Amino acid sequence: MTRSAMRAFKAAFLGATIAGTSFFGPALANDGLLALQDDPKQWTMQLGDYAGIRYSELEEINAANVKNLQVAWTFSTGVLRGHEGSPLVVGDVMYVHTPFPNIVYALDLNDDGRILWRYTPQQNPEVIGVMCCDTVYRGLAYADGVLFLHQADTTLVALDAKTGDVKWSVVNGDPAKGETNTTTVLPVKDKVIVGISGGEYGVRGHVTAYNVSDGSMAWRAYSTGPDDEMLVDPEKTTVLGKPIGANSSLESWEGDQWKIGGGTTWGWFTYDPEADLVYYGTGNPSTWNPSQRPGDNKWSMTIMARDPDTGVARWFYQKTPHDEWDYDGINENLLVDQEIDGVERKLLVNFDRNGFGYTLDRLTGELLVAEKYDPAVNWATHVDMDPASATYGRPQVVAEFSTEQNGEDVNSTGICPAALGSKDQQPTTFSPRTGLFYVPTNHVCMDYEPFRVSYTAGQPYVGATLAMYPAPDSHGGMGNFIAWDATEGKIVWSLPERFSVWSGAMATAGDIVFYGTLEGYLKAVDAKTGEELYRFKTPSGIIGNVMTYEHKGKQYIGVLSGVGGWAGIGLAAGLTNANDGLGAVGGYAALSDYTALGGQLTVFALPAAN
Amino acid sequence: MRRFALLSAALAALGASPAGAVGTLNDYPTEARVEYVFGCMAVNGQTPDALRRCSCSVDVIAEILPYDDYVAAETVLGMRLAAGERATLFRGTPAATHLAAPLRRAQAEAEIVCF
Repeated sequence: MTRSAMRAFKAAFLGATIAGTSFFGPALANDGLLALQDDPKQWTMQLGDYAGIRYSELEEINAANVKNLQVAWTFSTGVLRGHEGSPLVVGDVMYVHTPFPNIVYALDLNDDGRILWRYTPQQNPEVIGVMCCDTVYRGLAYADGVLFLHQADTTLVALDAKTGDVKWSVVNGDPAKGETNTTTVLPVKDKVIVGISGGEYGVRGHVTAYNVSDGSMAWRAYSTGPDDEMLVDPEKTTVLGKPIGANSSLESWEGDQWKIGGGTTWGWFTYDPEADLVYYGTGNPSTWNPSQRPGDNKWSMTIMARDPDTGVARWFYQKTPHDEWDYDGINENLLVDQEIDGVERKLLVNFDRNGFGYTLDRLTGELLVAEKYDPAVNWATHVDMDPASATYGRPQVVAEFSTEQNGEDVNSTGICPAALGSKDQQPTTFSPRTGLFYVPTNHVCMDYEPFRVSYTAGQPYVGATLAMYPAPDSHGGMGNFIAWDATEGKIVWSLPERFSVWSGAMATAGDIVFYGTLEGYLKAVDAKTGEELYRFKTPSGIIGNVMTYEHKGKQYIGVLSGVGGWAGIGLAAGLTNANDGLGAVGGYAALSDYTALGGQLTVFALPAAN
Repeated sequence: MRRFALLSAALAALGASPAGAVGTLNDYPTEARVEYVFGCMAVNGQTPDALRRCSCSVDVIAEILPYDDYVAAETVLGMRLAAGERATLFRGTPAATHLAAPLRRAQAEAEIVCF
């Protein structure tokens, strides 16, 4: 298949959304971004495109030659801690971000990666103390010459992509209350859609749209609370095909718990330009102790579809009503068009932390498939798929693994998956060529003991003690990398991994799928069979997401490595002689010198002769 | 010179000469060896003596432990230094400790031989 034919195929596959947009009337800010997404030589969004499928049409590197891949160049970020997300490539410039302090580098691809400019935000380091899950940042966003940096302290900054100059900035939350940011933003039309983190601090989650032109707020939609603050229409917003009704959230909480009830929005946003809907998920209800918050805790743990102009919700689907396990519902929603029962459907596919892979109609929110994507999942037997049933769409919870039914201060054991989920935020990829989803997963179970906590603004509000371990009676490893058929809800192949896979995957037209491992390996596997075709050990564990681009006719693969800790195995050697030499204290001082190298971007290409 | 006598004895017990140990009987990339020696010298001094002992140390570890197991242990030890909820998967859990323990044993062996 030629590249142009491939592109046409992809456009058709995505519901011809790209071709259709130009008929929508006046020029909008996202037209530029849409055009960039159609050019596989650039990587302009963290999830590759609005559909979130992280698929590239580049095919110079393919299943036959990927074994020859070599390191082309590297770049040290100079920052410690976990490196999530990926660089962007727009034109001849690569934009690299770091964890806190969220430095931005613009690298000139025409000049061996020379730094064109850097932007170093000034942030209060106290924000580090209220970030539950490391100082990660899942990366920059770009639209029409503007780079969007969303700092850990929730400051959203619009940078001129050419110069690094600040065009405007706006503050989205208050770290003093535990409100922080880890996720990327989504430019849509003339707005930029922004989430918030802090579910472990009792933050009341919301999504906010700011106007790209000047950073003024266009709308804010809370995950919980009164209808007008959630931007739901009791008649027109639907849940599983029926009107949501008045006060749907307020009636699902006891008292005012919803005000500190979580439902944060630290995951990914996707967008269907044809349907004109933005999709995202909400996180866990606060606290982790379910006995302190009776009810369904709506709308935590929910997939939301909203109009980007007004914020008004089209439909909701709550995956885990009354969460008892911290199965944050924030994972990415991939938008694809596939046949189910002989009918072409516009689908939304979500691999939830709770271990179920969901396939929904993205226009209506109709539930089509809900199956376990890890056989270890045991907290629920299944999701009720009978529309006539009173429990339609709800997971059927197993009493033994219910931390609510077992009660406070009781240790519920052997629950699968663990609170990390069968999959965390690390994004999935989809190949239109195979019709399969490639999912980096955890294969981990837990013991969970809830206890009573009281709320203090800016203090952790967790309320459970956890122990985690590899899934028992399995291969002994902590992860799998799987291929999934979302129309059937079936695993096609599964590669056991010794460690959880916390790196985002990417499929290409070369019929290969890339992902990283905690050992630091970048791996390439055959998209059809899962056979490993290539591995290379980068200097540190990989929790970043693989990306690709083409520059001057050559395809490159890039990935950030850096998990936040250097084992420094050699440091433990010869410590019996510590008094003779530098000693342990000197050794650890030297350790900090060494690890100041921090995270690294590694860029791969085929050798010139290939 | 007692230390070098010990080294020879240990390597003899493992059925290998030092030269053979480096060249054929292990699968460690040079980069991994250098990184180990780098860290080891950070503790024991930037001296020719430390270079020799640290090189000896990684050679002994490579004799005992396949590279794949070394990488697994390194991953566990690195993740224990990471921040956040998910690092708890590696702190004090039996499965993680099980992966790290063979390296600790090999290091203890190397310390006797080389230091």
